[in-house]
Amino acid sequence: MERSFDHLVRELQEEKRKNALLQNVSSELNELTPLDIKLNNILELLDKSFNLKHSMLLIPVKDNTALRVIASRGFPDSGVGVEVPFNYGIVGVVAGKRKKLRVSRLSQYRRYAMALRNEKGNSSKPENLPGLTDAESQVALPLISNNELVAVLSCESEDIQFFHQSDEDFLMTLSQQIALSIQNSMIFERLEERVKSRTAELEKLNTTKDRLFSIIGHDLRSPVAALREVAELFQYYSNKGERNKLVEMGNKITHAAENVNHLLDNLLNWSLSQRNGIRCLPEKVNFQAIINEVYQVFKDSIDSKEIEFIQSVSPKASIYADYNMTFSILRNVLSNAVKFTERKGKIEVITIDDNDRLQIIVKDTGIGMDKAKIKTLFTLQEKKSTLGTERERGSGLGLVLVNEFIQINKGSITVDSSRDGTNIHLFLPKN
Amino acid sequence: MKTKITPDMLPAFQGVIPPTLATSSADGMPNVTYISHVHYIDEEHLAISRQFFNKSWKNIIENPVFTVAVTCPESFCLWKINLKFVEERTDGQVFDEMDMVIQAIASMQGLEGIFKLQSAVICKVESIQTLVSNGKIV
Amino acid sequence: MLLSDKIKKANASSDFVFWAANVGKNGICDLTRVSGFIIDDDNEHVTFFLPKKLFKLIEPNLSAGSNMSLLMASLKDFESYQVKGNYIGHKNCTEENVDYYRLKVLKIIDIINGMGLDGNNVFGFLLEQPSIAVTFRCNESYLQTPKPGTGTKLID
Repeated sequence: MERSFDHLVRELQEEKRKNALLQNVSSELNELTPLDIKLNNILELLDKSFNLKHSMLLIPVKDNTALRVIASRGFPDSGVGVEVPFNYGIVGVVAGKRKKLRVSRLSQYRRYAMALRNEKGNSSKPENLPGLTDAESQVALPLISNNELVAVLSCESEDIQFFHQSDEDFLMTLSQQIALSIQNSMIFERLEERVKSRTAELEKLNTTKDRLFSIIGHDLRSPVAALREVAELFQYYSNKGERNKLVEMGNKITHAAENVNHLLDNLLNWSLSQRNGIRCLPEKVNFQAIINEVYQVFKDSIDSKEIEFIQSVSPKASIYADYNMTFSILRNVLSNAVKFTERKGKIEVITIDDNDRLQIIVKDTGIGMDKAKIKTLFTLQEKKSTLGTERERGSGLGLVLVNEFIQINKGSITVDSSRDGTNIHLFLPKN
Repeated sequence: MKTKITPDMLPAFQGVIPPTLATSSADGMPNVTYISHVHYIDEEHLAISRQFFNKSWKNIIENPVFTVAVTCPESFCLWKINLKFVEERTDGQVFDEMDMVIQAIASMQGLEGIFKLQSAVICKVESIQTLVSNGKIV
Repeated sequence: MLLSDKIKKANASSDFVFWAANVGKNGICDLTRVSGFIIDDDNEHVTFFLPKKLFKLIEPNLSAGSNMSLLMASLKDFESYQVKGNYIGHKNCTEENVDYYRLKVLKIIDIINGMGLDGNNVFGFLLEQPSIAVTFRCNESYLQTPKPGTGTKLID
């Protein structure tokens, strides 16, 4: 009678101990911490509460065909990063079958294997998992949450019988909670990473926007300043009654206003294309017609710089592209050609039939560009605009836009340049 | 003499001390061998792993009652368990659980193909006799 | 049948443990640990030793027949042999017998201790007295080491 009473008291004490343990473990597991800290906390918890001094956690990788060690405790070599295939060894079989496994007397199996191997001359597979060389018992549990194998927990001991059935059962009831806890930390980490990369993306976009504003602000100033200067001069000469000067001023105003217009146009187009707002409506465009229109824009500058403008354009040459974008492309390319060709230089526009594409070459005898400059032509950078031969200003935006537009129209652009001049090759589809 | 496996006997089925199997042919010739371990199913059933086709198995087919001796590494009891053959399984939960151990060991020691579970032999517990208790003969 | 050299050699080493089994009227086997055996001069008979209390397990079956099997297995590398034969007779152990097998059992206890188990609790009961010496005639012996091909007859 007394013996059974003692037994009951002991059972009750054991239950109390387990409950206290459950509570402690639960509160620890419920904390949301970064994954690596969480994993080490779990192993430490198992050490302190269950006396599991040599343990490791592995996660499924390679599309659920292998396990990788992500945390370990109590081994001379941490082994983090080591991988084993599913169904290999105790942890592999637990992962493959999703059932717990306990093996005792590992030394017995080692000796048995050695005895067999000596006879057959087999060599054992190398096992580079962290482990106790003289492990006698090993227990491995699958940690499953939401029907997903989150991890495998493996514990070893040099003790022949270190794990009781009741301990094993208790640990199994905890296993789901441990699994959920690890899963939460993993999700938390993945979310954090996504936030980080999104933030980086946004920062990049912001920088681009800032750069754009800076370039525009920088480049708008001079034509606007020129306009103001000219307006003042206009007033001055008007008061003085000098009509010739007034006509001269008039031209200058037109010129400056055209520059501003060009810049603003580019800006608008750029912003639209960045927000994918720009629509490409390709149509058959006669090249000679469009190049003539573009030429009209620059006629005065070309004449005032006494530049020779030659068109070697076949009257039948046509392209299949968006009219406005093509106009913008040609305007920017020609603008550069005019800007960088000296007084009395030459600009030539040539078309060449290239199977299903039309090649347009805009050649100038200008100051040319070095290789370094060519490399940066199509990227948006600050302070990259170069002063023209007569100190004309422009933004670096022009060619960036040309590149964008020509890609949208399924064409391409190449540039070659030397001190004798620059050749811009534009390729656009014919149909 | 008891007829059911009690909880205190469970550690005996961990394979810590290898169990011994004694079978008899139809004409009363005994055969005694070691087996790697006896698998606990429930208080009335055990399973033996069949790895190599041998005389023990032949005897069980001829004579389905046989005996297993297991030692508990904690209480140092030696039990003699009389068993009766129920069925042989090559699939199912019991086979899977037994196969897990063998697969794990075989893969770790490079013994695939040599150390392989052929089948799980399910048996019913008929009676249990304690031969040694706490290290002393009963 | 003359005992093979292999078995003689195995018996001379100190890492083997032993079992004996026989069959009762109802076809059910009984088995027990035994402490060891000595090989008689004729190389055909052996005498094995066990505590009297354990002998009482297999004694009743002798009325059904004298068939008996002995098993010996190495704790080190699982080298195992089974010898089938017939019970011839038994008597009380002499002091010499007890001295002989006590040494063997103590050695086994040592080996078990070295493996991390309590050897005395696992094997100590084999030294309980009184003890019996059983004479046994060997008819066939088999290799029982657990591997493919186990159960082959030893011919040599």
